[in-house]
Amino acid sequence: MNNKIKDLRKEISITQDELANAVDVTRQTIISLENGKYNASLQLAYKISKYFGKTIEEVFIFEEE
Amino acid sequence: MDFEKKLKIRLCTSIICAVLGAIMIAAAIFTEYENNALSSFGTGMIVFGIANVKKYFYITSSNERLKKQQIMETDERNVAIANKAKSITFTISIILAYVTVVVLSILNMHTAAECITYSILALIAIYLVTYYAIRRKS
Repeated sequence: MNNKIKDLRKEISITQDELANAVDVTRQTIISLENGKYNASLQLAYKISKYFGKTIEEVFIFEEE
Repeated sequence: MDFEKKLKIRLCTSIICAVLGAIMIAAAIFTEYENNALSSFGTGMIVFGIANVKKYFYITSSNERLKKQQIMETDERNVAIANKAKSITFTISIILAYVTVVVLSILNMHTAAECITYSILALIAIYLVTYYAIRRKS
């Protein structure tokens, strides 16, 4: 699943570490999310979206296969 | 469960391990039943216990370390990776155990083969019980 985490993070000038601490995950998880190698759970997707002040659909792009 | 409570339970378990290890070593030294394996296991348990007690005090000495440890252990990606690794290991273990049973049977070591067969059956039974228990709960 694609997402806009990297773009949103750079918009507000925060590091991966800062985002990770804010949503209680490791930096490696944020890296994997940004690279599209890992799909967040609903809970984590909600936390990240809430942190950026956006809806889940605005952050995560679901493309049907 | 609260993370600090979880750590305290681990601390108690580590202390119990260390005490059991000491008992095993004492049994190996002071009884007529001399057993190198007993003293080896005992030493291992003492080392494991002490190392975990030290780790507990190291982690809890700082709020930052405590939070970092909590995130490391509860991070969903880490948990998913660990669960996948456990699943693959279980499958490989069953296959390896089966191969071992076949080899032992060929070598006419039937008692050992039987023991391992019962262990495999117990593992499969535990898997099925756990599977249906979790399915029922969720």
